[in-house]
Amino acid sequence: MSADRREDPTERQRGGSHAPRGRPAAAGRGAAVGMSRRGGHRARVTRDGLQPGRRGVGGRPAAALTALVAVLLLAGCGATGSPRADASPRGGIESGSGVTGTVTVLAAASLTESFDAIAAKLERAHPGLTVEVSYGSSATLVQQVNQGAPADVVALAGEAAAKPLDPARVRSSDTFASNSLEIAVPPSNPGHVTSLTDLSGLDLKVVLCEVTVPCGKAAAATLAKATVEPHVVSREIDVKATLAKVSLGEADAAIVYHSDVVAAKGAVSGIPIPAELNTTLDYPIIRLDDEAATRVFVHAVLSPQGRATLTSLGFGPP
Amino acid sequence: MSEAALDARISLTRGTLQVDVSLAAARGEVIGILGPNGGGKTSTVLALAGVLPLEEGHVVVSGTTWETAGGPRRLPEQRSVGLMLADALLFPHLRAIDNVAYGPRSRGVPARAARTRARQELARVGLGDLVDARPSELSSGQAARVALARALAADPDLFLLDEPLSALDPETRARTRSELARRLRDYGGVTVLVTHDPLDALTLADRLVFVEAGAVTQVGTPSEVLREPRTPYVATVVGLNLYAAQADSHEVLTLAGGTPLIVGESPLGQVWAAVSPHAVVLHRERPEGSSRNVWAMRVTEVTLRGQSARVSLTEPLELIAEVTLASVAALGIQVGSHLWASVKATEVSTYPR
Amino acid sequence: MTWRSRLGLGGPALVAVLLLTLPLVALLARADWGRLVSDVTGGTALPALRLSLVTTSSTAVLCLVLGTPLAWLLARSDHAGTRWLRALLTVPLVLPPVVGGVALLMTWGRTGILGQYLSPLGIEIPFTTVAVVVAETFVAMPYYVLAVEGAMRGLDPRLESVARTLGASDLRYLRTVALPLVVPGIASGLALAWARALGEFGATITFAGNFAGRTQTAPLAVYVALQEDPSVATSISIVLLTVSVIVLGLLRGRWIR
Repeated sequence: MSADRREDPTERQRGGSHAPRGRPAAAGRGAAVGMSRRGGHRARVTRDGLQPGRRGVGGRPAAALTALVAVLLLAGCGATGSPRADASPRGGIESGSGVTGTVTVLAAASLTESFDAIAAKLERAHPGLTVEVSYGSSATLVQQVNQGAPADVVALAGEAAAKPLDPARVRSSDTFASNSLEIAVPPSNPGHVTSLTDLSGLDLKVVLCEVTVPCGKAAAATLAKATVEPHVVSREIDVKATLAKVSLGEADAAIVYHSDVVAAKGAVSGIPIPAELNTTLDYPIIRLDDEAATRVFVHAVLSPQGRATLTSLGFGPP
Repeated sequence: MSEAALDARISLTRGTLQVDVSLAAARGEVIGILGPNGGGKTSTVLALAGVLPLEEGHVVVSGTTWETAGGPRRLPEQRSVGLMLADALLFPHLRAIDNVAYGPRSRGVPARAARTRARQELARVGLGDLVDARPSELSSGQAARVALARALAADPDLFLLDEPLSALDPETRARTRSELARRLRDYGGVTVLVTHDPLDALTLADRLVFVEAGAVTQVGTPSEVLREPRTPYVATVVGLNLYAAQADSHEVLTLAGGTPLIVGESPLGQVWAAVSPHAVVLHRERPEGSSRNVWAMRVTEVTLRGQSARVSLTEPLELIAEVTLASVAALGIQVGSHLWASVKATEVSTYPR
Repeated sequence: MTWRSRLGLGGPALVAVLLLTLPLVALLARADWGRLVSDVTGGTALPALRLSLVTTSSTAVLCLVLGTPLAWLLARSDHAGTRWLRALLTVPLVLPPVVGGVALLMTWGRTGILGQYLSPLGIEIPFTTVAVVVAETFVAMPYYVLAVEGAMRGLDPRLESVARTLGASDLRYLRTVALPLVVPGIASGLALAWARALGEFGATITFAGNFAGRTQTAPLAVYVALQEDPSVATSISIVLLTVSVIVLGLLRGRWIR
């Protein structure tokens, strides 16, 4: 594995715990479902979340005052662009001092790099705020929320993935980004893949997401449109696991999100899929409660800086 | 002794013990190896069996060389030996008959013939009605007899027994001992019997080999050894008081430590002096009379054996007296009491060292 | 026992019992029994269960054929190197299965230390049923080897001396005495290894991937099913639970005390 590993054991422990924080009824059942070590890419701040089950944790530098001011200003402006301007609670975002606590976020695996970056910036801006993000396939995350997982925010790959979500838990839902599909191949491209049609080669090893998860559904739709039947050797449990099989060189091609190819930073090469065949997913971010810290996080994602981070990592506008 | 059926020199190191033991025997002979624990008896047997390799020496049985140190070496399964240990060590998953048939089967005898032979062997040790018994269903004495039958069922040239009766209770031991003696009379090969029980050795062995600290200290027939033990250990085994002495003048020996011992003979130079425990007489008061050796002594130990008692005494020499229980009571003997001991000069036998 | 010590020990013991049994009860209580048959016979469940049966049986056979000689050699050696080897062999026991899966990719994958030579020959292990068996064997064989070695070490070494002097070679002793006497150890070793293989998830999904009928074993099917149809997941889980309990029950009556 080429990915670097920066771990701080104390940070990891803290990041891995899901403190129920006043929702005891939900805590026990949430832990029982899918929150196992293979359940998701659980990490507080991860910059190398390529491997399934990987828990990379970046160091959190001491609050830098300049960054704090910059982020606060930009975050404040961002509120106007948000369809839910009232999400800014009690001026917390402007002052940067009033918001404390922990936000527990469940996010689609494809959001690993961007949410890690947004969370890190937000924590620098709000020294009292801790953001814990657990990554996994959207399908798994929705099951976890429905089983009572103690989460404040859930961000999913595609509106369709949000459909099974228990409506009683949803406080607000905003679309914050979009993503389209791309073919990922190892940099050497051993299978000489240049287009979707090439994926049907019999000696080619193609890895897709499981059809139960959004990237698998999207890939199935695209392949149907292109009338291509690829030679699939494995259907992985989420998009990062799918990508890992390619970056490790075990598979010749995979259909993943454009954002994943960008986030892989050269570990894989991307081959674009024409717009008429592509499937675009709109990513909803869903608040599960009204706490100030929760609003601050959602707000940061929807802010122009949040969008800039997402755009720089390959996501499209909502 | 005609042609030697066993000619062996066992030389090897076990831990800190250097073992160097030579053995020779004719066909049909039973060699009893005696010695204190940790003296190299078991190592000798395991080396003969081929379980332990020799560092020096050789093992030749019935004219066939089984092993020469540094030369070719037969593995245990290539030697014609039978082995019987303190525990019967029957194969617990096999019936008595299959235990006994194991040796012949391993040496290539067809199943039917091996079982027939096993049946005969079991009958010879009086277990003809227990052929189908499982080891768990046998008493310890029966198990020992099955082990005996198993060891001899493949007609070994060399039969090795290591404390074969020591795990049995006294009554079973006596019965099994006579069974063993009877069976050994019919056996044509060489038997090497390791034991620390003098009774086993005296009743079963034709010749005794004493091994102490890895070396042979005395060899002889049981009667020879009984008559003239040559080490304190041998003397203890045969129940004698034995002293290394210097004969300087007429009828007076000087023991180690300077104590004089008056004898009825006139030996010269380095001698052994042996006194039977029965020849020691104990008194409360200094005895008057003909005894010429009289010592005031202290009791260190009293051991009861049936109707008699062995009384260990000390100073000026170590002495064991065997007296009746009545004497023990009459003399009020207990550990720490002071007594007079006397030995007639004619009860001391001497022989050269 | 006084009532005080009974309470002091009984309390934690009861908590332990609940911790262990309540999830099983919950699984049974929440099951949609009416859908059990259709859940298990339709879709991915049946191929996954069949695949689990095939791969765990293959793993058990591999343990028996490869693990027994290894246990035998370990049990008979007191060499310092043997102790190191034994310690090394127990590592997969404590290794997180996902790490095991990564390690297997590094070994058998296209760029792996063995895979790079096998790949040009057209032999590619990952994403195949063979990979599932390799992954399961990797995690399960240590259980087997340790169980059987323990049983073999429990044999009285003098039995071997006796057998050898009766003319039995090394192998004949192993076959006619040692193996029959360690059958209970072999059986419990097989049960342990089989159960471990049946539950194997992390190494399998990392190394063999997830493809229905080829590499999707029952635990993987449970995980995938949970994303869309928890009822199917529960149904497969109940089948796994039942099979495990039956096998354990059979072995317990016969060989495991």
